[in-house]
Amino acid sequence: MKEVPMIPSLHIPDGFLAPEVSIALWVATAVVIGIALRRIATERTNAPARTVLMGIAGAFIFAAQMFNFPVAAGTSGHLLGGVLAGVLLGPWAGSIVMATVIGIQALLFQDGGLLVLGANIFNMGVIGTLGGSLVARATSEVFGGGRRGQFVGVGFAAWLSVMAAAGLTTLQLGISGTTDIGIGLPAMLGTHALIGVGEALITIGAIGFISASAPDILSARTSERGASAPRRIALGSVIALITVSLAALFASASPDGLERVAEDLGFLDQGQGPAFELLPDYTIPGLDGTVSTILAGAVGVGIVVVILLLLGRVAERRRSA
Amino acid sequence: MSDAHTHSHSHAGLRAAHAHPHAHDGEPTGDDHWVHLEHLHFRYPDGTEALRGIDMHIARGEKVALLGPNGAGKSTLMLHLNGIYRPTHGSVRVAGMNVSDETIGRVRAEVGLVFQDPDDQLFSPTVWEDVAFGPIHMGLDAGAVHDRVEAALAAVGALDLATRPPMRLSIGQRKRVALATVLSMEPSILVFDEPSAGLDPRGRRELIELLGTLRQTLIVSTHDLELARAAFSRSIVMGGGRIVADAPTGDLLGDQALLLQHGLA
Amino acid sequence: MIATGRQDARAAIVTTLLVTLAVALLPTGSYLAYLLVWLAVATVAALSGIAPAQLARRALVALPFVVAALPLLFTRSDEIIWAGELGAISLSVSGAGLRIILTTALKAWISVQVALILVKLYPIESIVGSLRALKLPDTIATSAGLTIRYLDLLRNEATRMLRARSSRSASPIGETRERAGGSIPWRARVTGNLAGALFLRAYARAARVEEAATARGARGSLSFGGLQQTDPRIVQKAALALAAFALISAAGALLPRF
Repeated sequence: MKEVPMIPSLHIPDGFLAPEVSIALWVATAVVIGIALRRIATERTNAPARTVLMGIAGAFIFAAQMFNFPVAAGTSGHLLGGVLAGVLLGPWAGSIVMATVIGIQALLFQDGGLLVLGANIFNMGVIGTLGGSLVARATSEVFGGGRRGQFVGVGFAAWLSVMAAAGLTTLQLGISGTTDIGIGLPAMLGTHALIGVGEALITIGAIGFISASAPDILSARTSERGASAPRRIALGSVIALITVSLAALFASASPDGLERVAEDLGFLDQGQGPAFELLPDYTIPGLDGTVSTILAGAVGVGIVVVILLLLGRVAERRRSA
Repeated sequence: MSDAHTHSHSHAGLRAAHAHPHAHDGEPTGDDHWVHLEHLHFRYPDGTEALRGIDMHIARGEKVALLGPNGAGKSTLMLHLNGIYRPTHGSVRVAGMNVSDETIGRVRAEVGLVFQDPDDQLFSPTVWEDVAFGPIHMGLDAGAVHDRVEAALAAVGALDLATRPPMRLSIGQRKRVALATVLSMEPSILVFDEPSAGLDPRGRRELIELLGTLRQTLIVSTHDLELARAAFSRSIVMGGGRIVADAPTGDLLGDQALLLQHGLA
Repeated sequence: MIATGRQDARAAIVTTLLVTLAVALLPTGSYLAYLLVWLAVATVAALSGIAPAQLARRALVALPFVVAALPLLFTRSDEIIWAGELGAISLSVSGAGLRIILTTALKAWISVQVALILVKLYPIESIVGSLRALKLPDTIATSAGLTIRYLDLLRNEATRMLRARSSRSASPIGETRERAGGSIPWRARVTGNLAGALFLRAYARAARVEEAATARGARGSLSFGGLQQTDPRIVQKAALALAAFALISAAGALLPRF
């Protein structure tokens, strides 16, 4: 079976990220994991049981990443497992588990660098698991809760988590000057759009299996009912906002747009022979490119919110009818 | 049961025979060699030699026990029979086919492998779906799938378990269902890895009964000498990656020295 | 190499991180510095018994990222070293782009080598224990330890399940070659079933492990594994690590760049 595995291989090696980028993401990761550790300490399960489950779940994620299915022409779909971990263990415990998995991958297999570990954990563990779990829950409530809502939510979140991880990885590489955003971003997002579908399908299958065979494991994690209309609209808006903002961000990341972003954020390094070519041009133009795109995104979100409001009103009228 | 081996029953031990009838082109064919291993060598990627020249043939319909201690190479051998492993040297022929990339799709239907741990092969939410996996993968239509699943479950006496989740069943029930998952592909050869492991005496009795009802060519690896004696007229003993004895079970089990020498007693 | 799993690897960890950092901070294009550092690291690697083949395999992880950097050759417009036409397309190759690609590839290679030395010299359990001593939160350290402990077991389960699936993945009647069966959604669902089934086995195993642990008297945080011996020369080793950092950085600053 000589297949080319389309694994979401987003483990950035050492040497590819600028120190500033790496440090920023280490800080972000440390903060989130710190919060996660405090949150899980307040959960009802007792500490040994929880820690044992987290440890073995980590080994499970490793093992589950071996599962694949043939797609077409020698390619196969694989699992990254971020959203799966979040749904099975809860977003906080799930993030910690993914963080340890990614850390062990770096240490034991040199799959991902040590200095850039913070970035890798952020891209695949924090955004994927934490963000993914929240998106999954919100989406499932929007779609009426229950099994169908759960599957839609989990599937969409899994796909989105892969896309977000791919996009963020490429952005970080681009800002560090080790890839060309104009080519890299469309390529990464394009390929991972497909990979994300594989991730979504496998995650849905796994959740489906577990909810059919051992529903009690999941019952604590999912909302059984659909949300009220206002809550649905609020959640739907948030999801739309996240999705559209990411899309706007990535769309604005044409070579010019990205340089402006990097310049706006102040990565000016004028020393001799810089360690990283953060700013190929060393100029600081105005903000126009980025701001207009973000404005466009905001308008888009506004349209989506209006549509949701109308839909919500229709749904309420049907329910009370 | 015809046995084309020549063997001596000397006290030094029952040695494996080396004469095999071949067709003219050197390739054995027909029911006499429904399973045929020739000079089979297998080396793991890390360099460990697991099989050091296995010559074995089994006639269609024969029921053979594969005996030997852990590490003798029994499981490694079995994984060659349906092509999961490919030989480093030598050849594997089953059901008249040479096991290769060209034939692997058919080999998997002809050779049903029942793993030691049934949980390894039960991965569907219901028993029915697990047994249906094989036929569905083969592209059979819904009616044919249905018929095959029913027949397979009936053959192992598990029709009443069809809608249950496999994880909730007892070990004995799971073993029966695991067998059903390969029976639904209508193989002519069944290979079992330690089927009586984890079974109590009653479970073993039921297993022996079940094995007795099967018409397929059977190859069963086991430590369980009682099982071998009760269900298999021929036994092949492995040791250190080689075949060290191949004879009627009764003769083998009577040779205490042999059993001790090869870690069976 | 004593595999007690409780050796003090703190100095080694700090050294690894400092050396990797120093390499990462080396200026772009300081090939002489890379060469010197690589020679030093390669010597240590060889002394630790790392086979070149293993290093090459592990370094392959960086390959997709090097490939992702290749377009920089053509899209950057500074230091053109070649310009011409390929058919209807006019292309230029940027020296700056080439420098970046070579730099990142070499830095990644050296970093992988350094990381490999760390795990070759110290069992992973010692590394986790040492990280715990370096203030890695208890929950993470214990959880990581369990993951490592059960890693092979669960991966072997996954392997057997995959084998079981492929054993039943036969081709349609009349065909003999391998063929993907069923529809893509069905195959994906089966794969999801595999993952779900494996999780339930893992969940049950976790319950058993926890029972066994509480039976043996573990309460509270179930923390297993502090350091059994602390390295008496840890301060000296830390100083050496800092010296290495300084040396490497000096090489980068002083040696000519290209």
